[in-house]
Formats: sequence, C-alpha cells, structure tokens
Amino acid sequence: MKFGFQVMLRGSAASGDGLTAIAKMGEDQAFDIIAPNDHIIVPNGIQSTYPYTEDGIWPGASVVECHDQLTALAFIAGKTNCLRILTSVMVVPYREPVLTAKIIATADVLSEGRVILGCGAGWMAEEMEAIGVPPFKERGKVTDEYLEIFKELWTNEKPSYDGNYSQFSDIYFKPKPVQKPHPPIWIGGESKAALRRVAKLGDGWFPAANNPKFIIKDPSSLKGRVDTLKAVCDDEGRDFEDLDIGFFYTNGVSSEEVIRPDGERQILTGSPSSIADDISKFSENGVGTLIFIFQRPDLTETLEQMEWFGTEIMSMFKNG
Amino acid sequence: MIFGFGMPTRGPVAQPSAIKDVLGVAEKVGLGYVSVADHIVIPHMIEPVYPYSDTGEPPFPSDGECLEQLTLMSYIAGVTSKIRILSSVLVVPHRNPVHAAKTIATIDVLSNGRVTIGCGAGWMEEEFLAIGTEPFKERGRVTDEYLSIFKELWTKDNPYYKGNYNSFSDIKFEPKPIQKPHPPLWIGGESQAAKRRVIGLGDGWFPIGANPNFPLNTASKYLSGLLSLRQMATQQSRDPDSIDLGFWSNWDYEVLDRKTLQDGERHIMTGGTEAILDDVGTLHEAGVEIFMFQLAKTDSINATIDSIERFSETIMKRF
Repeated sequence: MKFGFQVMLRGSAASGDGLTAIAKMGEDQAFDIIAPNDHIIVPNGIQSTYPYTEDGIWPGASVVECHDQLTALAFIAGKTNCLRILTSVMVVPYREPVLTAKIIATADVLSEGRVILGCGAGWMAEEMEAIGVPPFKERGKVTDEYLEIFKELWTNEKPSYDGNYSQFSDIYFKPKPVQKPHPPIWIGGESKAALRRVAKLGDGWFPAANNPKFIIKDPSSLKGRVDTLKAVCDDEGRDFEDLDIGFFYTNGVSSEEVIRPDGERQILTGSPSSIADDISKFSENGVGTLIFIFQRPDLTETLEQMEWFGTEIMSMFKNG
Repeated sequence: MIFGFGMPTRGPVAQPSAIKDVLGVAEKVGLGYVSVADHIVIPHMIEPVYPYSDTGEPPFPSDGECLEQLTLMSYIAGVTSKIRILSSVLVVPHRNPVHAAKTIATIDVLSNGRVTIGCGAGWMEEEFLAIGTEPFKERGRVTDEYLSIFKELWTKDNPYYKGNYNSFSDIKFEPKPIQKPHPPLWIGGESQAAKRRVIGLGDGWFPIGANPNFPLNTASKYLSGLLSLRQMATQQSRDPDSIDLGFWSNWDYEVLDRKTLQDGERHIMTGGTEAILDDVGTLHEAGVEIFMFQLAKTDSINATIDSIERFSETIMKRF
C-alpha cells in the first residue's frame, strides 16, 4: 500500500514556509505522495453543489484562500526529492489545454518524473464563469477533449489536433514528460460518467469517500463501485487490471475511536492495529494508494497528525 | 546596482540538478536576479521577424524545446532563498489573465515576495494561434486589459472587471501577493507604444538593447530613448523618477569587436571589461539600477558556472 496526504492550498499550507514544512514532514515520514487541491478564485455566494459534503457546502468557501495548484506543484518539486506529487484533483476545464500540457510536462521534467495527474471535470459553475472558460454545462466534453490534447502533445513528435475547443498543427512540443508515455492520469469522480472516462482515458481511478450520491464509507462499499468499474471496462474493451486505484479517504483517520450511531466502530479510527486492519481490507479490494487528510488550520497540529500516522500506522506497512 | 542573468529553458542547463547547481553559484557570487523567458509551443515556421537580433533569426533550436516560464519560476523559488525571479518577459496575451494573476500571486507568496514581472505584448503570431489566444492583431489592447486585470485582482478586496476580453464580479482573490501593492511590473519593449504602456501601467522600463527597429545598442542611444520616456512621462503627469530602470543585454558581452549595424559604433555592453564598465557606469548615472546579462551557456553546465564566476570577478567586483 502506498500512502499520501492531501494539501489544501490555504490556511496552514498557504505560506511558503508552511507548505515547505508539510512537504518536508511528508518526506521525513516516508509518505509516498503529496496531493494539492485546485482552485483559482473563490466566488462569493456559491450556488453550485459541492459533491463531497452532505449539505453540498464547500468547506473552502469561508476561508477563500487558494493558490494555483500547478504552480504550487512546481514549488513542492523544488523542495522535495522523493515524494510523488498528485493533483487532487486538477479541474481540467480551468486551464487552456496547450498551456496546461506544457506546464505539466515542465513539472514532470523538473520533478524528475514525480507527477501524477489526478483529473476531474469540476463542480463549481461560478468559478468557471469568473475564469472565463468554456460553458460549465459542457465540462464533460471539454475534459475529454483536453485529456486527448494532453496525450497528443506529450506523445507525438508532430502533434496536431482539430477539436471543438482547440485546434493546432505544425508545432513542436518539447521537452516531452520524463515519464513514458506520459505522467499517469488518474480520473477522480464516482459517477458512471467518471467511470467511463477512467476506462477510456485513464491510467487510474481516484474516487473520494464522501460523495453523498455514491458513499464509499468502507471497503465493502468500495468493492461495489469497483465491480461497476469492472463492468464499464468490459463494456469499453479496457483491461481493468491495467488500472491503478487510489482512494481519497476524506473522513478523519484518528487514534480516538469513533462509534457510529449504529454502534459500529467508524473505520480508520481507534487502535493502530484496528486501523491497520482497515487499511489491509482496502488493499484486498484493489486499492493501491490511500490519500488522507491531516491538515488542520494550525501548522503544528498538522505536522503532529502526519508524524503520528507515519510513526504509528505507516511504519507497520513500510517495515514489513 | 544589481546584476542578473537569464536561465535557459532548454538544453542541459534546463535540467533540475543543473538548475540547482547554477543557482547555487549565482546566489553565492551575489547575482540579484534570475530571469526566465516565455514560450509555450514553438511553431515549425516562424513568419514574423524576431525583433531582438540583427539578422531577425531567433535564437531557438530547431526542435522547439522550452520549459514553461511560470512553472520554472516557481521551481526556482523552491530551490533558492535570496535571488529575485524575473519573467523576461511574460508575453501577457499568452495566458488567461485570471489564471495568470493567480499563478503570479502564488509564486510571490511562496517565494516570500521575490517576483518581478517583466511584460511584453509578444511578436510570434503562430504561437498565439497554436495556444488559442485572443487575435494577435489586438495584442496591445489585450496586454493593457490583462495588466489592468492583474492589478484589480492583486489589490482589491472585492475585485470587479468588465472588459472587452474578460469580465468578473462577486469573487474573492486571496491571498494577495506579499509585495505591496503588487509584484513590480516592468514593461519590456522599445517602441512608443511600449513607452506609453510603461507610463500608464508600469513600475519599470525593461528594454532589450538589440531591437534593430528601435535600437538602444549604444549608451548614447539608450540615453536619448530614456530622455524621451521621461519627457513623455512628465507630459502625462507621471513622475519619471517613479519608473524603475532595468537593461537586458541579451547578447554575448565577451565579444570584443562588435559594431552596431546602424552607425558602426561599438555595441553597448561589449568590447572588453573596461568598455563594459564604462557603459554600466553611464547607464547607472542615468538611473539604471538593474543590469541583466546573458551569462548562461546553453550547451554546458560547467561553462555556465565558469561564465558566472568570470562575470563576478571581472565586472561585479568592480562596483
């Protein structure tokens, strides 16, 4: 099992020193992956429904801070040596595709091949409007086209594309990414449309735990969704075994046992051995990478959480 | 007086370990600026004439290799601690302005306020087409609008803009850049239009000496260019002393016998150490504080490091 941690580029991770301390703690504790989030601006009065809370309210709305994800990624690449850097997720329609392909290729070169591109189609109509991108309603089609453009530019010596949103020909695109054929593309999302995109365009599937429409609260509910993905892969003629699965566990992981209303222990809470058992069950169900949230508004608490998980939990998997 | 150099975006020096080594030496000898150029894709055929060489031949390799400017600047912020990081220049119409403003603010915050944005309107139409920007013919107006958008987003608590190319309202843009009111905007370019942009929107003037259409390739030509900028500023009620001055010598300063095409005079910032010291002294007396030199040797890491050390010994130590 590989382990990673999400970094929301706000609060304790918004300064150069804070982000550096978090990234360095990640390397010290031998985490595998650091995973920054993606917003460009924060609208006032967001009407769009956030897909990952029950009330549909986005937790970042009250903080309003955000950094450009890919810029932070390049900074992290300069501050670290081993951590892989996963965009979690990059909202594909936010950025022009040719520029974005160039930015990611650059980051892959500068990080010596440590980029993983987690991708989503986005959910916040107001943000897309303010940036001035193609219409929100077309985000699925836009995402598919942009992912095709990325691959065209990253892998072809003479790239050309004639799409609905972008056209080019007779250009050079160098350097190519260090990773061949290109940095892994993990598709986020839990819906059928997302699973179809995984089968068609992805190298991995990167679902999150708390989409109220497709709750993945434990290994068995994950298995249900994995079975659906297998069926979609069969349908699309894609070999399911080729796919990596990374799971973004958006609920808390904690040494304090949490008892759910039904009397059961909340998974990934309690003693180190109970948490390790839960992790093993995810592994048995095909999950190769788990991403957790340790970030707190306070930097010291954030670093303590990471240290606790590294020392108490991750060490059981790394050493044995 | 501060000296700086340009970091290549292609070849062996544009690799992560080389970048760290070169910048380590640059910070050690006291270079104050590192600059990064801006190309996103290079077209197979380039019709317009490159404005910054006597022949019009752009100094690009045939395979179009280039790293992305702002990504490299952010990486440099991560591997350095003191040196200022300059876009030389950001081709303003290349990028969506809201995204570009956010990217620059991010680098400014993460670098603890070490960013300066050199800005230009661009010259390569084919590149504009491939990226899918606003029309090349409108690049001057696009540049002005985008620079206004940057300032709106960087300085206002409730930014609002209604323009020809972009409109937004009801948004937050946080965190603001660390530098107040925002990272310095230096305007590149030598034309009257560029000077007007300096006066209207710029914090500094950052021309290249080598544009044959508007040559600033001798000290006296630079001084008369500067005089006309200062006069224009005064006419438009802009205090000329509020304009920072940087000069970009994007040629090999170690050439001894280069003459200008226009008048056969010694080309500025060439002709040996003493001649260069004269030029630097003359420009410094006229108010130029930042001198950028082409120190990197694109083909070799060692030659680049040697070149930086030689420059430090022969030129920098004399001031």
